[in-house]
Amino acid sequence: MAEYLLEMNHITKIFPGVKALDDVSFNLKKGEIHAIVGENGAGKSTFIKTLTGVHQPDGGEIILDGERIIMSDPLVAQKHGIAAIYQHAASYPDLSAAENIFIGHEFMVGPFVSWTKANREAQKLLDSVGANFPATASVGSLSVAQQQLVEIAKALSQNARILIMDEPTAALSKRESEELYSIARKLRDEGVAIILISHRFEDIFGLADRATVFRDAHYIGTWNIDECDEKMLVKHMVGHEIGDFFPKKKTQIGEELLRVENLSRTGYFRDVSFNLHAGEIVGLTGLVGAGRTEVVEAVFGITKADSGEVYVNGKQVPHKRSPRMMMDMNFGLLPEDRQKQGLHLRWSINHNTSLPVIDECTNGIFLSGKKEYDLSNKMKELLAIKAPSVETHSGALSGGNQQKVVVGKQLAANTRIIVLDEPTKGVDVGSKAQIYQLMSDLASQGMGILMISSEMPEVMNMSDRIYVMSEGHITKEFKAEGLTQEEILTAAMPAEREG
Amino acid sequence: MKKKLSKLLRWETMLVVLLIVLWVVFEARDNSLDAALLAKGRKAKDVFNFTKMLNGMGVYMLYSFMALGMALILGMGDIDISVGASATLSASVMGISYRALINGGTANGTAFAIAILACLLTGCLCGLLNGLLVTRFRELFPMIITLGTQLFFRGFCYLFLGGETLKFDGDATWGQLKTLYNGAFTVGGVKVPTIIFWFLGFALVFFVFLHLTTGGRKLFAIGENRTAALYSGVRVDRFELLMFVICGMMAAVSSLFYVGSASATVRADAMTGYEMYAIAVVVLGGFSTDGGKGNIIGVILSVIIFGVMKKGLGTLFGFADSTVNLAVGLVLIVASLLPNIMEDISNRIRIKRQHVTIKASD
Repeated sequence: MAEYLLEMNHITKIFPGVKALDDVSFNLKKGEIHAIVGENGAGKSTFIKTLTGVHQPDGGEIILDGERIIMSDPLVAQKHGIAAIYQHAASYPDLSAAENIFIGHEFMVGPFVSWTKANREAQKLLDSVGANFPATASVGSLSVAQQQLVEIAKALSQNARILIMDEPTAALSKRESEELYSIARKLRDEGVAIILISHRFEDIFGLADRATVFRDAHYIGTWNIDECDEKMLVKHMVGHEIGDFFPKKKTQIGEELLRVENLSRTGYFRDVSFNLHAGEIVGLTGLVGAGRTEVVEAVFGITKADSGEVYVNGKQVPHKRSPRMMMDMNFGLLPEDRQKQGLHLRWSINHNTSLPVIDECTNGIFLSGKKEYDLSNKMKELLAIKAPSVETHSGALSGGNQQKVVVGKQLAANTRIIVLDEPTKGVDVGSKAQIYQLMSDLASQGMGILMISSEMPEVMNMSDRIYVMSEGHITKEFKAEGLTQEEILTAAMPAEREG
Repeated sequence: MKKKLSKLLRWETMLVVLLIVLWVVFEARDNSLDAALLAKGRKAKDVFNFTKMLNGMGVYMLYSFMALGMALILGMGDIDISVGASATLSASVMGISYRALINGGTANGTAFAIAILACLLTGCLCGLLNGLLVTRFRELFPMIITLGTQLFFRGFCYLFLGGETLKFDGDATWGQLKTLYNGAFTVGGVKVPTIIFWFLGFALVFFVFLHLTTGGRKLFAIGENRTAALYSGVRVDRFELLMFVICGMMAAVSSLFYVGSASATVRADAMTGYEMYAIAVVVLGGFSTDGGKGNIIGVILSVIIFGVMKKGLGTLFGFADSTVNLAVGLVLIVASLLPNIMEDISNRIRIKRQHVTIKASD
């Protein structure tokens, strides 16, 4: 028996114009949890996809149990006991947990599927990972954490020897994360090797035995976790040390830019009032599902509020409003899901940047390519977007750079009031620092920034004031100075679960 | 800039190649047929050549105007399968209003002008209804909505006309519709049907709109990602509604030529299935039903390809028109699958190479 269960040596993968992996090596022992860390765009996802047979490497070898294997498609990887669970569980929400677990390898009785047996076996698997719901429950009715248990049970049903967990705790609460940790440890002790991909240091230090760092498609190194600390990992991930992480400047707070009064939408939020001044960064926080995104969507005219008023620069905005109308009032929204709502992924940076102001990029009735280029080049320079040119597809950029393009779209439209919905979600450490710097700069230029965020450090360190939402209404308003995390969390907790 | 141009033209280049291949095959078949005739001591017919193709193109272009409207709809990722019925309804309204006006004593010229306006307006209204339903009921597929309106519009045609065939024999004013279809210009000694000029004129307008103005950019933005377009300040619903109206109007334009081609008669069962030709032409032209891409040049080329194929297979190989559709369908399927097939092949090659390198190193 070889020392390593899995060895991946000198893997290289080239996409048109980009080297996504450059001579990357990795090994995995039986019964260990091995974290792969790196900034977005470092090549983690591509690496995993070469292991699961989604991508074919252009060079290098994969050795499993001492035997060289070609992962020509995902089924081959599955046959060798390699399974992956993703942060967005790729399940069938209308089918039951048991159906999801055994899809593709059902128990057959003649030409029929034996659901009795499937349900029984599924229940066994679910119990073994500590699930508290029946195998017959439809997956759509389960919470994200429970859905992940279904995914894990599915992996186990295929006798997975190697389990890949991609950002497994991204959508989980602290308690749910802890439960996931204990399941992962249990699996490890049973001999399953786990590859963990995560941006959260709590995950890495709480769970992993070893950590491997990737940077810019290169392999940087592998360390035992007890030799590492956060600072050292960050240094390797970014390539240099990060100085002031939260560069919040003291700014002159100016006139009121935005006032929202008693905004309500049945079933989503009620009586929400807040305001925002020039030069101010206001945090809007709360648990996932508290209704924060829904509020700003109603302000921005994506959905319609039932009652309540919105004032921009002291002027009342009509109830029937559209994103176009709000943007013409210099109000911009950076949406939560930048890939689905923020960007046209198959479009260039250039076309993305110019879209909000496309009617101004014209000569007479014709589009002016030059005006578009001037604008997007200006934004690329201003925001230090890392790309060969503005012709680069936005889908090919890393998360942080994609976010910068979305910010660029807002700035191109001369925005004065900007709402940032989870601006650093899925963004790597280096880009996070750059986005904070940018926010601070924009505020000092007199813009008003409303930041929706679930990440306590950024809420507490970047905001001048903080609103906390819980179950559709604002429970508390804080001045940021001298505030503790506990005060925010208490305000964010739903009333009946308090204490 | 150069790279962008080459990318844009790749699909169109393939269409040109396809056209040339078809042409060469048909020319060769034509020559061999002629040689056979000459060998028997008879005169060569030369049924397939540029002039004859150009002359006979008109009949294959009746749905080309519809196709231009359909390009807008497919570009947004929607579909409209009611255009055939919208066109017939527009023609029916035209015929009925003309008859009513004439019977009411209106001068022929005025009545004709009003009737044509009524035709175009009906097309617009059909499009408006489609657009309203599609933008108000996002949970329904445009395919299902327009299937419904298709039946609805066709039903109105029968309600208005029943089994009757509307004709105005001997009415010179109404007869102008025939000239619209039959008319021809002589360009450099070659007779070119008027309908080709009409089509190219409309195609130019659509090309400019789709590829050189902000409207086209918004259209493709909607097709590529409707949500992101909305968040970027595109007035999605309003824009989409307008495009459906234009699509309906183009159906009405098509119906004018169709009535001309049918000896200026109007029937309730006319133009059945024309929406399928329109969609086929646009898809072969490089528009995807997912939206977000396509080029009017491709549509122009594919209108020509369809014409050449039908003419060639029909007159040279003696296939019946319905059998020719089989070939047309085949080409369409292959053309739509081609990008996927190419990707599959490149993946296979990659895997094979990997096997080879492993063998070599062992």
